[in-house]
Amino acid sequence: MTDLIAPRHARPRRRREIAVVLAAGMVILFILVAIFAERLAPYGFATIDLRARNTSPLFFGGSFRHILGTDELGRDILSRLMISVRVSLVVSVLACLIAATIGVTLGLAAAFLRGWVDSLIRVAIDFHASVPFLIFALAILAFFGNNIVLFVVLLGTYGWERYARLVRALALIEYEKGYVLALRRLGAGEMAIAVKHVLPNVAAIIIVNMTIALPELILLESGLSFLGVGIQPPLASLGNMVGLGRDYIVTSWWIATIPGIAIFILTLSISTIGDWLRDVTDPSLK
Amino acid sequence: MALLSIRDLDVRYPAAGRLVPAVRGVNLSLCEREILGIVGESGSGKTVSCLSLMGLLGPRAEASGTVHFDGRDIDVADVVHDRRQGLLPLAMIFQDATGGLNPIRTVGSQIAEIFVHRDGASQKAALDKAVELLESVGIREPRERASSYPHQMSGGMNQRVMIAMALAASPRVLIADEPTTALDVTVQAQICKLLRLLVEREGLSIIFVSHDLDLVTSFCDRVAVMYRGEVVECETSEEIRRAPKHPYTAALFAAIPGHRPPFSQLEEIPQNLDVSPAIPAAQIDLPKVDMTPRLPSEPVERPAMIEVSDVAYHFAKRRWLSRSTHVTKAVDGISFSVPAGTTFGIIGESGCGKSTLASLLIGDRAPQSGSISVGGHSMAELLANGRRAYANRVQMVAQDHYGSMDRRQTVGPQIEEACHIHFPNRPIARRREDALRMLKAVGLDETHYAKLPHQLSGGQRQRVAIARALIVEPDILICDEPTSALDVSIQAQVLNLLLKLQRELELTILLISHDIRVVAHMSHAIGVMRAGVMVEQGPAQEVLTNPRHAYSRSLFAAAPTSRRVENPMSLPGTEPLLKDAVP
Repeated sequence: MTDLIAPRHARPRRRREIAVVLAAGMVILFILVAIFAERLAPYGFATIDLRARNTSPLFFGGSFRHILGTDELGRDILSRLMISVRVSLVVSVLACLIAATIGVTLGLAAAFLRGWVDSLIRVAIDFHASVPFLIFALAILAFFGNNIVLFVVLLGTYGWERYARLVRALALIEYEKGYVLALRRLGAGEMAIAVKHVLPNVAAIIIVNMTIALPELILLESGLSFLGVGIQPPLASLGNMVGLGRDYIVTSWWIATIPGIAIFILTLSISTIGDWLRDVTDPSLK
Repeated sequence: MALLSIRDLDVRYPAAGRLVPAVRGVNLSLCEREILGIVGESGSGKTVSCLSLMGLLGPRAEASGTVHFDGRDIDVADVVHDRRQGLLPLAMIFQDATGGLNPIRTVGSQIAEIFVHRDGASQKAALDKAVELLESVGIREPRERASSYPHQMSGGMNQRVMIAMALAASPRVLIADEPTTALDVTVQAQICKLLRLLVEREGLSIIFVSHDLDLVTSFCDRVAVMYRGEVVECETSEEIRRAPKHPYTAALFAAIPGHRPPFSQLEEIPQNLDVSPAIPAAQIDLPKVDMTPRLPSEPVERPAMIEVSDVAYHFAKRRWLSRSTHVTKAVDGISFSVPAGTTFGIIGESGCGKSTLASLLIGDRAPQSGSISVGGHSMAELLANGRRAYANRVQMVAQDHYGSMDRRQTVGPQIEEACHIHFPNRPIARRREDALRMLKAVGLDETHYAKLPHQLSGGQRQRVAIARALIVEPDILICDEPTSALDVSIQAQVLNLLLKLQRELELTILLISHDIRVVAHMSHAIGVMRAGVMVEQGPAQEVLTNPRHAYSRSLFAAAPTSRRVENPMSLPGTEPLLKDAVP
């Protein structure tokens, strides 16, 4: 009765758990780097050292002075990378929160109020989903000029429709459940039902969706900065580092490649955690 | 000589790093042309025992023991992992027949498939065989019916189709796992009759698994009672009915309403009753319960608490691009009144409109005509300013005890919230006190306060639901199938609780149920519903003993009740009914 048994499907599950731990470690590392960027960076991110232009990274002919090498102006890539991680993370997390707030509010309002409000919000969702966002963003940034607040707000309008759709659909399901009926039969107010019961019951999925949307926002930020309409020099972001390094890809490959690798690791780590969160919060997979 | 016998069956499942026994040392035998009933509550191991014979336990189970079939000895370990079922000629049917059929294929083709794949028969020959089988399970116009889809058939018809499918495997033994639990009592009687007929005609032997002791002891030849993974008693039906040897069996009988006078306390079986193999069955101590019936004192003239007059609700459904509408008369002119402090029981089969009636009475929808008045105030007047005023007088306990609670919130605060809605001025400390007092009143305590709904058992959740409804201090409690999702012993607890609360709080209860035994046990007056109309209503004793309407009579005759003990020959599903052909 007490003999220990080896679960059959232990191995692939354990492998995945290791991946999640690694990914979480990576994300924590990136966050720490973002917080302590100034203290960790060996040089100022905009400090130019023209005598040490295009130095190779360590092990590729470089030295310990510039571990990840320098760019065409002699700026230390490690220092710039640290600042870039901060800028990219802050911009994408803020944008993600904005998108979630807009989306959740509208989605819940649609499910809660129904009727013409619902129709209007659904039209807005469909409209937003049918406009290519990158072109829309380029137009806005080209028209209004560039500043970081506008950029964050603009990124924040990316993907809200997904939250809205998701929350609306889930909230409609919750509204059909027995406990909402029971609360109505108890005489509870509709506002209390929506905020105190329906919202907490869909919250887990919103959080999971945020972790899945975050890498996309990092990539979008990088893409726009690469195109030159995002974060402007001398401030560095992962995307504009790749963009500025593009011209030197043949002679000094590391200028563009190193931030590229950072984007890859960061987005992969967050996605891994997001997928795992989605599965553990899904009761049907237990 | 037994056709099939199981010796020392042990089934264990790995859980939390240990092997947890699901079934311990089960010995069963089944003779040729016999119906063996296995009865027990959920978790007693009755289904696991059957699944192990079918090789359907799943790869994680570990089983030991031997099966003896028709002169052969087979190791259970071989059977358990024999998913193609080549070793034993068995077939099985389940509770959810409609769910077991493929919804996008006709029933005929689903049966025919077996012959095509197994025997290599041509499509046409296979379909002919399928039609033959459908006829043999009593489906009228089998050729037309073969081309119907599962959703076009009733639940009882689908169960017949499942039986036909099982017969396609030409089994010697049919295992029926709760085949009638999802069906109405009249349909249940028909299916039982069909199974009995198959035994007589085809020489089949049947293992009939059910939770309903009344049904099993009236329908089966022998009955095995299972409790906590063990067979505690195996006897002929008459013997079990006459003198149950094991205290658990006796307690199970006493827990079923109908074996005790109406309004009396039902036996409560403690949930942590330890029947480990070390304790001989005879030594199990069951707590003695006060058995004296608490009959209501002589009917006093009480004022009517709820008056329903000529209430109707029709569902109109218009077809796509069509002008005409199809009207379903869910509730079609129902009137009754319930004196304060008494229980009015409403019986009916599925589709009779009793749930729509409940939703009208609780105020989910307004009646299209007629009026409802509660304590002298009309419903419309009470509902004029939101639902709170009405909810303060009328509360409800629903069948789905888990769904009716917010699963992310602990139960204590959910009770408090109900209190807060109706008494917003009460301070938080007082609210908490009230919630705890209410939990105590329904037989729970403060340890349950901070539990999430899924951490409670079904019976405890239903108690919490009752506590949440009663903290509002309503005059009327509507109970819509309050115990249908619960085991018999838990049902006994909940019914006892409702009786106690009614005495203490002078509650007026509207009890809606398909189970005649429950309604008979609890009600002062009874109404029988059919197709939106109350065909008969009156004092409980009168309606039950002397039903005037033909429908009531057939309903009561089909239901398994304790009354059969006195006259076992009149049981539907046994000899007397076998004379007439299958419908």
